Amino acid sequence: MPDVKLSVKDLSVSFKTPQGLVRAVRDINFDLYQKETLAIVGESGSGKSVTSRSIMGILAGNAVVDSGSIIYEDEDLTKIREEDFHKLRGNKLGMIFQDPLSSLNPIMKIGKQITEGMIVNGKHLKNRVKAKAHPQRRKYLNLRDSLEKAKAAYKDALKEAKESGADTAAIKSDFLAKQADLKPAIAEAKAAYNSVLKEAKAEVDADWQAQKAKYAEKIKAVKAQMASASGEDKRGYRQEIADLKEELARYKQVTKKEARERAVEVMNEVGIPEPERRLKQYPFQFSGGMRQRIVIAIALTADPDLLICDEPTTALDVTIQAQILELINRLKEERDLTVIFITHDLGVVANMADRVAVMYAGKIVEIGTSEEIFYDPKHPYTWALLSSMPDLSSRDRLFSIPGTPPNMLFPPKGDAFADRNEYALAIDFEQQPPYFKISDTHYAATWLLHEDSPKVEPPQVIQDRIKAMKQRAKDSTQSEAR
Amino acid sequence: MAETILSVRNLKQHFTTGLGRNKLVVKAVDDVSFDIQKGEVFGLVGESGCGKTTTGRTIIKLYEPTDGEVYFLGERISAGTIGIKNQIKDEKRQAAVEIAALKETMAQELAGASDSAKAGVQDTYQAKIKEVELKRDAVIKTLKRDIPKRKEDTAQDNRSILNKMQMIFQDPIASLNPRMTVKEIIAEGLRIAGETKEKVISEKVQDVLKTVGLLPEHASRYPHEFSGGQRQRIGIARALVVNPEFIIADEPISALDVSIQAQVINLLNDLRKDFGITIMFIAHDLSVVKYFADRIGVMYYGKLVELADKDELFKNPLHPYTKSLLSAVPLPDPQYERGRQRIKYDPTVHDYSADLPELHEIKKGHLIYANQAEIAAYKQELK
Repeated sequence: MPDVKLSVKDLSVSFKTPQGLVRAVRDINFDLYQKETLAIVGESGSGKSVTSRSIMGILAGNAVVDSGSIIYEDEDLTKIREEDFHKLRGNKLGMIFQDPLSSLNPIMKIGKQITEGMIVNGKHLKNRVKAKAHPQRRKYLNLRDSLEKAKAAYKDALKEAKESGADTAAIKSDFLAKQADLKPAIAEAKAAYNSVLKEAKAEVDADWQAQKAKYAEKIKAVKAQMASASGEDKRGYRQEIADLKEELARYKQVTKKEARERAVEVMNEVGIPEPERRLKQYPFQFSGGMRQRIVIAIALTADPDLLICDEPTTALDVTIQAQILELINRLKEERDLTVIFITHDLGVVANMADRVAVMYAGKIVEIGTSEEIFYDPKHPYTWALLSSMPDLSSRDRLFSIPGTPPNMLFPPKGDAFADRNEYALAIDFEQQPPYFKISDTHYAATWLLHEDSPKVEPPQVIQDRIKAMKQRAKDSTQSEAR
Repeated sequence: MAETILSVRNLKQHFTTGLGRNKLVVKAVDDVSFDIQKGEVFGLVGESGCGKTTTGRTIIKLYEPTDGEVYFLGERISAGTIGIKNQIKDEKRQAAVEIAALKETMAQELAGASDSAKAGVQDTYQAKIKEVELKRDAVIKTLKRDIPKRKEDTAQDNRSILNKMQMIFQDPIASLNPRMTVKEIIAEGLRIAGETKEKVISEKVQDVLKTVGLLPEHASRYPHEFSGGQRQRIGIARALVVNPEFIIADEPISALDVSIQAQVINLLNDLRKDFGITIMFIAHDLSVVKYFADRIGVMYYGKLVELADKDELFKNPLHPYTKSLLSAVPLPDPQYERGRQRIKYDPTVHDYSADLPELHEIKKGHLIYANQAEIAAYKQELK
């Protein structure tokens, strides 16, 4: 089993609206393994984008993470601070958005948009100081957080005790003891953090001064040579001095020149012809496919290792879609990326995914490898999705899911899909189905898999299609063998 | 042979931007011809920007065609004038060339002739020039006479015919007026068509709402109260209320979710069966077009490159662009997808420098845009 890259546990996200809480994501669990592509599919409003946005920490202002955690590199992304998130977002986690026109700034040249992130994040000296003091800072902040949490818990307990008329003295003394414990620890941690910070600053500063002195000497030497040279040679020396100065600047931060070189490199990588010329153009001068390539290029400049693609091809047509999918697949291979791919097009899923999670009404209803989902689907919603999509051989009336998704202001008590599900059992309306294990990698939340439930076969369309697919696979292996 | 409901002849739609040196002509639709038979679904596919939407919009007279003609139910409903204007220009140019040549030969002869003969030579040549001029004027006159007729066809609002043609738009949110109730939206077409009795209008609106699977009480609501699929149904109801014979559906499902796409396609399919409506279906999703359409036309940069029965097109795609388009369709089958080889289309493979291509019927019902050399190669391929 490969390593777990990111693990989402019991995540619930709601949105505060004037009408009440809209439960967009309800208790979802999944692990994302190193170097795999996980596709999340579902109708609009099923919570797939909300899931990815909570991983990126870019939920809308009225969103609340009710419970759960997203563990990435031993850190819980639902809890860390915005400023710590700056280090992850872009650098480790990249995201590609649905509409390439609205995710680019229309009045900013492409070059600036690609280099912006690199320059902002490229203060090398500052970053080094921060990295050195990071463990101490975390320790200090964690302690401070736990004190705040204790305070909040104490207030709640106090209120509750007052309401029920219970004794508050014990609670108070408990809290005071805890506070007394924590306070010196916090002070200590703060002092440790500050001293480490100071040390790191001094160290980095000394290093920087040394570099400066080194380059000053070099430049001096070149200048001395230049004084004795004449005419043509002088130009060469001047160039040499400029190069040295640039080198020194690069030690301190990502310079504009460096960022532009890198942008050209990335643009070449994503297949934008003539990058030097294109850098000076505005988004409207690009076609839809090219714009999406730019968005991908921006995500790639920071070398992320997890890439979230939120419907990157929905706004594009078939040929361009195929190109972008190929590009993402190639980049994944070359850069060892882990990809979360969100879409509602099952054809695209089949192309991209190693594993597929099917979401409905804020829950993952089925998860498995793409073979398992396409050749052996178990959940009625997966059946419905698969059969509502025509393939090249379908002739009969298309299956359409009756009704509409449930209103998430009032999430249904039982299985959310029960109202629209022709295979629904009585229990579906009463109780939420647990996950039933089909294989080590394949789970589905439907009562149909319970041992006491009637045996139900998937709809005829799907059975036929699976048969056809298996036949096609057999034919192709035979023709290969020949 | 079924009755032809719509025929498009050499349709051209050029958009010009800028003036003088900056003038840029975009040939959105360039010399497209096809016929649509009564009762069929005609699919038009191609990548974005290939002119499929412009074709639809020109047919329904949202644009004035630059050149070419559109016939609907046997009548010419719009025609462009640029072609004739160009013909007039050509005629003038040709006549000028002829006259210049005549004048030159006259000058040569005059130089060589004796004084007494000069008058005679001059007279004969003057007569010849006069003849050319007269011929030119006659031709131009007949051509010019056609221009106002064509303009009239394009500008005329012949409601009795044009009401039989309706359009469904891509984006159900943008194409419905948010400040009108559903009833007003649907009834607008009826009112424009001259219906004044409120009772009749209400009845018709109720009927059409039922046909598209909405409830009568929905009539008093506003578009924002509906889901995407329901909004598209309102768009369809608006088209249906005037009893059209021909509907242009411009990517009616591209903006919808998967499960709702199926609802809308089923609805369109029912309408076609129940009312015998002919549909021109513009889309870029080939698996949907394959499922829904009878014949498919493939467009590439303003040209119709291939037109065939759907089964024929998927079985024997000939034009390299069609092949590349077909190879890009994603299917919900991981095994197949892993082995899928996408064919890239390179427009430079065509060498049209010597022999100009045209739409040619290579097999019954299978048309392809190619020149003679390519046709020979394609014929070989078909065997």
